[in-house]
This record gives sequence, structure tokens and C-alpha cells, in this order.
Amino acid sequence: MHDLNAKNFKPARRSPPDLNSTKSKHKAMKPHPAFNFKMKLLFTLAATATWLLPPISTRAQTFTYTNCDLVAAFRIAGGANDLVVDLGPASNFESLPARSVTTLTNLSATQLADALPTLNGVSWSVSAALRGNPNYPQYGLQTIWITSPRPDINTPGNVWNRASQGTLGGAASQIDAIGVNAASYGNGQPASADNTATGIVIPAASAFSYTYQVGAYGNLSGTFQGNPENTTPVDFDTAGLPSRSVLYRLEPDYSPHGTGVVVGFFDFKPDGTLAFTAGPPPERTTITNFTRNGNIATAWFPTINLVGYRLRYTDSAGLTTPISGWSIGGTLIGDGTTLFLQDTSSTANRFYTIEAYY
Amino acid sequence: MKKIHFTLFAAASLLLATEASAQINIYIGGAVSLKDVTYNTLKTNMFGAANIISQNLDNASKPTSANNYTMTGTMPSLFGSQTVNVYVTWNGSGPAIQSLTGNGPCNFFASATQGVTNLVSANVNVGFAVVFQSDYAYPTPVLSDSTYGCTPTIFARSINTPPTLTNLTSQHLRYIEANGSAPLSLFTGNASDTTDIKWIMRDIGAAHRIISAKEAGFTGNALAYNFNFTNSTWALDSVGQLTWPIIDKMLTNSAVGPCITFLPPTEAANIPATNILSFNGFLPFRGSFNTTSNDFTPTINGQYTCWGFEHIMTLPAGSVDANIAAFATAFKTALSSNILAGTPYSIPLSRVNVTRTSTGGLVTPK
Repeated sequence: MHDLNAKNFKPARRSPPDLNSTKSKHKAMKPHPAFNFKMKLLFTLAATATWLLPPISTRAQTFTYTNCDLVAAFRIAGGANDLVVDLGPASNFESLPARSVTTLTNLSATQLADALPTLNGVSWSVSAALRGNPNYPQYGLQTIWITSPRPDINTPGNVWNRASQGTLGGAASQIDAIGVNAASYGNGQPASADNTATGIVIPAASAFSYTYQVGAYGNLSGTFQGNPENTTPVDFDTAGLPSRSVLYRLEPDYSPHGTGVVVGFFDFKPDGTLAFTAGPPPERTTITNFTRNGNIATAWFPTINLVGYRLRYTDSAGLTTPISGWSIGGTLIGDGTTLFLQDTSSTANRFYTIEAYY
Repeated sequence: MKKIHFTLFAAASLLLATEASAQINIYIGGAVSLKDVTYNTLKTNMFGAANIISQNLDNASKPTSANNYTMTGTMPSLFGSQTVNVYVTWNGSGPAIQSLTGNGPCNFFASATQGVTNLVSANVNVGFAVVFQSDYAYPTPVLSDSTYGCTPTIFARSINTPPTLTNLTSQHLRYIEANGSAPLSLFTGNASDTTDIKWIMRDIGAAHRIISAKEAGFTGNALAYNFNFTNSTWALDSVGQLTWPIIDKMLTNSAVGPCITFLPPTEAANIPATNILSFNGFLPFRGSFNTTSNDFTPTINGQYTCWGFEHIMTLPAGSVDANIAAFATAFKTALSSNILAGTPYSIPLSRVNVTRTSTGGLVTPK
């Protein structure tokens, strides 16, 4: 059995992991291209002329990937280059506290600019697959983590379903290949600003590119139930809104298949940064019941587990101002049931709304 | 002081020049499937048996099966009386291309004295592959690439695999490469065949792994199993085995459970001929596969499509040493001639009635 864990990370259990910590890299250094010449000299001149040799240099770190790492990938349809970024072990993202937000610094602005001429029309996804890495016994073989794009920040996207191990295996092999192939390609290139331990720019036409793996229809070459890629709008860089995708964990199960587990969501922002928020994304909710008894107003609304909700209110004069400017009343964390928030006030007329937030 | 340095440097340069004119070192690496005909061609055509001073093989009793060997002697027709040292390692197409492009040396037997196992590390300067350079992640420099034959990839089952498993389809291959195993029922169509059939494989350096995957349209990262002979259990293997003998052992050892794999023809010769599987309904040969002469008509005419070209590669013109270029050209000519004369595992290009433009690409009439 080969050692699959040479570059692995133990999942953090007691404290949230630092998603931006430098990855442990244990890859053996490759010989410098001049090695052959140096070896010939060594064999020929042996002891008499070794003083002629310049010092043998080591080679800087090229892109590496470990099975079960989350990989973010970016491309433009028909573009020249893809960018592949290793975000670290998926399990690190699983153990973050709900609603915590982390900007992922493994995504390099330099590499993004070198790979993509614009941030408009960029297709991106984040995925991972467990393909035998024994460091994560809590997940079944062929478990995958994969994004579901939201059409816009306020509109839910597809809910990904679990599937049999054999079915997930097809997608898992493609996902694993994104990282494996990027590392192979990086190994054949000199280390550079576009080929670092955590990120690499790869020609889209290469058989080692993300474009090749995700396929023409974005569905991992026909192995996945849908398209995990989000594509930024044509006015992305000026509209000011993030491109949001929800990260699902899909573990193998038996028919009838359940839905995947929402781990969190990624926001790819117009400034070229990528942030991860743990837990489900906030969704617009509806006040399903409202009462006022004396000075106590009560608003009932359905909640999503782990999403934050807060009561906002204003008087009639404030109705013309944006809701984000209304006063904040009580707050709560949803648990998947219908809950309520209350406001105590003697004001005769007060207007209320429930805002989901993180 | 400067004078002393200059003198030393001049002396060292002279030593190098003398060494270069006295001996020619050729480092050959590449596809295991080509080892039989290349050995015979080196011995008979390049050196000439009488001109071999000594040779050191890791399989002295059967040189055509040796994976590592070093020969020393002369090649009068090419290099006159100069001593020629040929270092050979059949470590796979991938490592050969990697090394040729300057991305890592390979290990060779340092000595041509039989039995000496000391190794020397050097870059390959003549590579053999059964896939294209573009199949590996070493695109530069673009190598000088010349094809002279083709060779089929052969699928086989282990001796403990139920004989009802006789054929693989592209779909089967895609499934089992993605998952590492598959129920027997997938191959037989019989729902009661619940036996789990393991997939075993070489590492990615083996070009036949690439040929079989691309032929089936599998573009993912393959998963397989490895049999642990110590505790008689299967373990997941996402890398693949580094040598063919390990694969051969899993196919032929009675302790190993049911498994299937791909093989180069040279390795298929080590298993019972009845354990060779058809692919998409066809075998690559007619009759029974053997070690002396095979009729590859189904491959030659495009009925069996899982095959790769046999390539000889060197650094591009302008970068390649003149001696190496001369050797490679002569070697290719001799290989073509020998394959044409008949070898059990290779098909000369002139006899193949179909072609393709890439590994796994569409097979079309010439």
C-alpha cells in the first residue's frame, strides 16, 4: 500500500483550523535540469575536477495536491488558461464554526490576473473527493465535496443529492484528477509565480487542465448530476455583488438517496478574493404569523438551521429608507423550525421585517 | 594563482575531450512492452554479437525479459572502434519522457559486468514510448519523435477470477477505473454474480495505463487495489504498482482474489493465455496468444482498437548530441526491419492498415 498521507493534514478537532496556513509540503526536490551535465562531469573527472562544478541548486516548490483537499478552479470558456488553487483539506472547512467567514489567501491575485484577462464571465467551482486517504475515516470512500452555484446571491441553486458509491466514484475520479493533473503539470514546469505550492496556471488546451476535466458542459465530463460551476455575470467587476456557490458534502448512500449536507458557501468577489462562510447561506424568509399583545409584538417565521435572523423595525417615517438602515431588535439562530422574535414598544405604529444574515 | 587555475581547467577540459572521443554513453529508457525486440536489435544489429565486450542483465537467463541491463562494446558501422556503453532501463514510457525532457534522471546498472548491481543516475537520451509526449506533463522541449510500429494493450483476469468474465467494454473500464472494483454481474449480466472484481494497475508511468484509459474515454484519476501478501487482504491503491512483476504475481498467485488489469504484450505472455480478455468484444490477435509469433490481424485492420504507436524519442535537432542522433536513427531502422521480420509483440507500421492521431483517438483506415 502506498503512503497516501505524505502531505496530509489531520482534521482539526479542538479549535477551528487556519484555512490559510502554509500547506505542509514534503515533496522531494527534483534535480536541477543541469543535473545530467553535472553527473557526467562527476563521473569523468571524479576526484580531480570536482572543484569545477558549480553548487547544485535545489528547485523551488511547484504545485502539490493531496487527495481530499478542496480545489478551487477558475476558467473562462474559450480562454487560454485555467487557474487551479489548493485550498487545503476539506475536513478543515467542515470543522469551522457556523457563520465564521474566512478569506482564502491561497487564491493569489497575481495568478488570477495571469490566468484570466477579466473577472467577468469567469466559471469557477470548488470540489474535493475522498479516494482512499485514510486520514479521514469519518467519511466514506468516494465522498465528494462540490459546489452548487446560485443564480444570484438571493436565489437558491440546485440541491445536490447523494448517490451510490459507484455513482459518486465517477465524479470523484474526475474531481481527484483536477488536483492530480495540476500537480503533474506543475511537476513538469519550473516553479514560478504561476506555479507555486498552492496555485498553478495551466493552459486550458492541456490534457492536464481543469477545462479538460470539467468537460464541455461543466458536469465533470458527464459524471456528475449537474453543473457545479458558477459563472460571473458580464458586469461582475462593476456590479458589486459576489458570485456565490454553496458547498455540499455528498456521502455514498443507498436508494432512495438523500440530499447532500451543506457545509458552507463560497463568495467569489469582484475584487478577486474568495471567502468561505461556514454553515448554510442566509435565505429570504417570510413572516407567517404576527401578533401584538399590549406592547409586545411577535413575528413568527420559518428558519434554516444555523442561519442567523434578526428583527428590524422602523416607524412610518423610515419606510423610505433601505431596510439595512432600520433599527435592529432581537436576534436568533435558526434551527430548521418556525421560530419567533419579539419587540416590546408602546409606539402606536411600527413596521417590522425579518432579515436573514451571517 | 590564476595561472594554476587556468592550467587545471585546461587539463580537465582535455580530459573531458579525451573521454568523449574514447567512449560513447547511451542511456535508454522507456516502455516495457518494447524490451524484447530492442534487446535483440541492440545485440544483433547495433553492436553485432561479436562486438559485445560484456553485458550485465537483471535477467541473464532470459535477456529479452530483462528490465535493466548495461552493455559495452563497439558499434563499428556507427562509431568505428570507439567503446560504446549502452545503459538500459525499461521503467516505463513516462519516466523516459520525463527524463528526456530534463525533469529527473533515471537509474541504470553502472557496470557491464554481470551481477554488479551498483546504479548510476543519468538522464535518458534515447527514449521509447507507446504514447505521445503530450500524454505526459512534460511538453518542453518538444522531443524528436519517430514511430516505427504499434503494440496492443491486452486485458487479463487473474487465475482466481471466474471464467465467466470474458469481455470488458469501455463502460466497464470507465466504471472500474473510477471505483477500483466492480461486481461480477456488471460483466456477466447475471444478477447473482455478486463477487467483487478488483482492478489492479501499474503507476501512471506505464503508458499502457494511459492507452487503456484514453481508449475507454476515462479521464479521471484511477483507483485500484493492491493485494497485501502478508495479511492476504486487499488495500486501496490510488497510485499503482511500480513494476510489472507485482502485477504478474497478483494475476497468477492462487492466494489472490479475483482481479483484472491491462498488460503490455510482453507481460501478457506470463499469464495463461485463456485468461486474456476481449475488449469491446474482440481480442487483439487471432488464435491463442503465445511467445513466439502472434497474428495481430484484428489490430492491424481496426477491429481491436486499444493500441499505441511505438515511438523512439530524442532531444530535438539542435539539442541532441550527434552521436545519439546517429544511434537513434540507426536503431529505428534496425528495429523496423526486425519487427517486419517478425516478433511476437510488435506490429510494423507498414503492416498496419489503420491509423490514429492521438492516444485513444479515432481509429481510421490509412
